[in-house]
Amino acid sequence: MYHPDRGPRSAVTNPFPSQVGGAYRWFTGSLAYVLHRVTGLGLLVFLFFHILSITKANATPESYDLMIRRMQETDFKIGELALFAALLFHGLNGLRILYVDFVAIRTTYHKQVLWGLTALTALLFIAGAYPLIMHLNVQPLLADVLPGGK
Amino acid sequence: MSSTPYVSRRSGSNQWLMQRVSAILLVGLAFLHFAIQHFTSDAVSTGLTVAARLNNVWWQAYYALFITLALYHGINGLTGIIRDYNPRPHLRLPIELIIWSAAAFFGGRAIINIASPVPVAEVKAAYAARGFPAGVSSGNPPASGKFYDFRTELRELLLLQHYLGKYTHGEVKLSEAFGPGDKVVDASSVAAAGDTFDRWLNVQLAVMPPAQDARDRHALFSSTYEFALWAKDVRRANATARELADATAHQRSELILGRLHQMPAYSPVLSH
Repeated sequence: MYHPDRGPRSAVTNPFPSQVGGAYRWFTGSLAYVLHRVTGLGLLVFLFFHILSITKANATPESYDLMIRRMQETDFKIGELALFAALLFHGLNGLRILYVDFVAIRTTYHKQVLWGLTALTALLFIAGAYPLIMHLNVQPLLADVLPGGK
Repeated sequence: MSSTPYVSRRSGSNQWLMQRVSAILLVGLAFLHFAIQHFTSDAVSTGLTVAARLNNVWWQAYYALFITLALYHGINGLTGIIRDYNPRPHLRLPIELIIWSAAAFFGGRAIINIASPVPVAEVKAAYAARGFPAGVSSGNPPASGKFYDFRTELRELLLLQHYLGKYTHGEVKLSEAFGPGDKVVDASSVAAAGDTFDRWLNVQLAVMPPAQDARDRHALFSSTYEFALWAKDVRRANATARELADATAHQRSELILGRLHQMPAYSPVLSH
């Protein structure tokens, strides 16, 4: 029976044997597992921060503006991209876990599904990062309706 | 070859199942929330559309469900991670007690926020009074890092048009309010579009406002009358700001010209 930790490929796929590298065995599945945990923890920390910042912003319209303005600065923009990436990966990998748990219970296609998911995540991230970086969500309002706005 | 396939649903524990159930709901809730806030022009940071959403009962229910599920899902996952590291029994209870209390605190805070939004009328009054001055409530900045200035007349008209289109859902023809838009190319045609809009505003304000009980309290503008009332404030505040800016610029140029007149005439010969 193939086991990722004991096969002939283990020396290649597992640069850190368990005695050296700790409890994690590094292969495709474990990478997804670790990333799912790390992004999940990140999203939980963000959620706490988000609730606090919304509490501050809820006081007056001015404080809401100040928050939005602060969040358009470079450091928060980078954080926004990281949040987008984490949310995408965690959400899509979560769907993969649901698929593995409830639909495709045989392990035949696990790796293919994971790589497909990675490709989808990368694609959606690039597609979404462009408008985020360029602030396209608010670029000229209805510029196409009123000529001269472009 | 094993005859029974690997199934991770071995323990049948409630916690495991609830993590999956909340995940299914959260995928939709979180992605929709992120898309609305980041990929639509509704996110223009005037805060008006956000205020309108938070004053709507359905959106309040949406966010109450979202925040509850997200906190449950997150803390449940964190509990699982902590249990994976197998802390000593006398440590495990206080750790889990602390993180669940933190979740209860933040969840309570969030529910209070959702239940007590700033009323739309108050937000509208605040923005109209300030006429969307630059940098304060001027939308997300473009990539160059500059802030949109909604006091410039064209941007102001675009923004008003955005909100008019949003309220009327096609009832009012935009060309009716702003004039034929195909010739808006320079400063004078922008001013002409502004004049047309001001005239249209006066026509709207001359009509009787709808009765109090006919108003839709959850709508951003419950009638064209209400929109006109608000837009007139914005136009007035921005016009004042523009005049002030022009006057300041004029004053400064006068000052510079006056100083230039006082300068001695240029002489190529150095003299001490």
